[in-house]
Amino acid sequence: MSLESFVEEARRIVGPRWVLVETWSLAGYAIDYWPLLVYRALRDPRGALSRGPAAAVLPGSEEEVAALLEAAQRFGVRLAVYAGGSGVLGGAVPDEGWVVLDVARLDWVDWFDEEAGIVDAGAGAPLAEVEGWLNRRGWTLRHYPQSLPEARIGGLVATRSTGQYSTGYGGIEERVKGLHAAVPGVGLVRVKPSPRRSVLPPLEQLFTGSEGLLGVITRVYLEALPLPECELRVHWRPGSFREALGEARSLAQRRLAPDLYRIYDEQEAPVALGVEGPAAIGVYEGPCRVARARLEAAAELISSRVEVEEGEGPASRWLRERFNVIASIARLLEIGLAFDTIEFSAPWGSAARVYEAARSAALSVEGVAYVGVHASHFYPSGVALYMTFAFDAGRLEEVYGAVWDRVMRAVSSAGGSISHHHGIGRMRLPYLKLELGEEGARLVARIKRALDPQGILRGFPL
Amino acid sequence: MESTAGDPERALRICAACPGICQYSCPVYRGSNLRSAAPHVLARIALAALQGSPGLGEALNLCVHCGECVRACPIHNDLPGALMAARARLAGEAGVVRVEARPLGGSGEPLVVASPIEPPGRAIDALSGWRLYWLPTREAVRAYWWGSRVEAQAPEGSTIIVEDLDFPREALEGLGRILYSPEALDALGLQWRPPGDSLIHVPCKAPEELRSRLRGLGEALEACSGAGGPLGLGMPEYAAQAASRLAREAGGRLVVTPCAWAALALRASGARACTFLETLWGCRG
Repeated sequence: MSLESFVEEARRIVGPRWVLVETWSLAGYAIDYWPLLVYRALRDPRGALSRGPAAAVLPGSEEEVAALLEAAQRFGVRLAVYAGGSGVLGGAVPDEGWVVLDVARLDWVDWFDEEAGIVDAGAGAPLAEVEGWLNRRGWTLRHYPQSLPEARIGGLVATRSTGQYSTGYGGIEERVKGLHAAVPGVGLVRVKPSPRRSVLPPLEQLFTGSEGLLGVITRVYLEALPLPECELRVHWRPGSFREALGEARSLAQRRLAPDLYRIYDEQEAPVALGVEGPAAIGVYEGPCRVARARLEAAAELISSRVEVEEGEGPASRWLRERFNVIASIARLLEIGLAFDTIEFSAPWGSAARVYEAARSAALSVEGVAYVGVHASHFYPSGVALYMTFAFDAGRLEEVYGAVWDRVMRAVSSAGGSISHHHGIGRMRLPYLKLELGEEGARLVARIKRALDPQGILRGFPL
Repeated sequence: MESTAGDPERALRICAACPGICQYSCPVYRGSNLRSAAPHVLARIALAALQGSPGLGEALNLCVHCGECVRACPIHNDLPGALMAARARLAGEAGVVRVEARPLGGSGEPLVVASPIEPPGRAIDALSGWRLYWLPTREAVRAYWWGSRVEAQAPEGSTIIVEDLDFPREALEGLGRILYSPEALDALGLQWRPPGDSLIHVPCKAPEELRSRLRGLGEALEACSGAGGPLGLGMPEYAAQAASRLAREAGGRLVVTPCAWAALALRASGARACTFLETLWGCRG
């Protein structure tokens, strides 16, 4: 095992300028956007940034990625794959002595098949640039996660991300039609794009959500759609969050849910939408007549009056402000509060129970000042719930872990799934068995060992 | 929320807490892919450097002070201003750097070129009828970005042509008539036309009136090269990387720029680039 030999070999593979070893060039990799690390970095920047990797390598081609994996195996070096660093659970953070493999230079975007709307994007292509490139040509991915301004394509696929329009358009897994991934000891696996195939379990889905543990995604073939002709913004006021969940079930099961659909409990509605009490907002898209017809059919299933926004309204306000997280972060910082979010999902039969259990669990931790919940992704069989909790930043270490621990256990006990779209990262690793069971967790650990027997990709955290 | 102007540490903390909403607007990060250049990451590094972390201060050269991050930030947090203050604090006691115009030759009224690039001998012929001077800006600009005050000296009654958009304008006030190079070409009565296949670079630091003039001179390439500020001097290899994005946009065509730092970085990245004045003495990139 020799880090020095790996660095020398990496310089030969990618060129000396793309191997970073200076302290100032590595410090930024010490944290991703895991709030625990971000708040620690605010309290003790020197300490937080001193835990950077031993080196960072930025390959410029897929072949270079494969060669780097081969070199890492040869020299026994562990790699942390970095693709934007917008993850919120520490999945991109290296341990001491690891090398970061940053895919930022794999940032191309082009058509693979314009007629099919299949776009060929490098793993390092920023989502915002891919979407802008498509929009200029009349197309869209309609994949708008909160991290749209920050995320890169490979990172989104590796965490099995969803977006604000995923109720209508599905998560990233539905957009991925093929991909390339470099796998230790195997080389560059090229899964060509296909609308659907039945050739054993789909390999592209093996890497979708693999969080840099099984291989390095280098290229993704994504299915785009023509930009919608019309957009109808709506809002309404359910009597309670429980009632709103009932309406959502009814709409989702009849395929009448808005393409963008969010319901807020009475704690979060004032913060997010500026209205009192529980509230729902939505956007119907598509050909104008179809969007209008879906809205009219949906309105018949909703007990309160559905308002279509011509000008300003809660939906329009939310759409305008949706990526402006820094204003809230700054406001909270200045009054000494920190915050984080926890997302989870539940089948309809247990959704209300999971909501109550998670809320109570978070509120039971001393130091928690606020808990609000919204639901933002709806399926015929269930819903994703998204909890925001704010707490005394001065008690970060005692409060943060306690909230996560109690919420994870409460969600699982009440019948929910511990994660909907943020993935596992480092924060959720201790709770993997709650979700997959003893045997399921053993199986994923075995898959990991089969694909990466030396553990060069983030070791053996499973 | 109150403005962060005048409170650099607060501006750094807010930026450090952000997921990086503005990051792809930064020409240095987007052009170089250096993680440390992403504005929110740079803010974290600056905080650590101010706490005395060894080996981090150099990263503060990575901002070119183009202001793109401030424009992209939903709350317009002034990170460049905060980094300027952080650099000054890391540098310790602010100094004064004096820079003097050096005579190059020719006769007539004094004409001073303020630029990091020394005009060659043939510049004297191209600007005949003037006594030509060079005000070397390189070291003064470096000191300026690290907190020093710059004082310039030039012959009385000079006409000063500025091709360094990073050189502090206030250091030239009172020394004579100050012109940016596109203005100077007209004012000196030179019949200047853009070379055949050229693009006119409209840099991010050009004041609005200069921008309008540049747009009227030919096909405009409006983008920050990512090469100015402390980066061009402190880390020229990364300035060249940052400029490679603009070089790709130029697609092999000659870029004529009023910013000498952009010309230097574009050339280092393999692009064809000249300043306006350089085209007078035969530069074709």
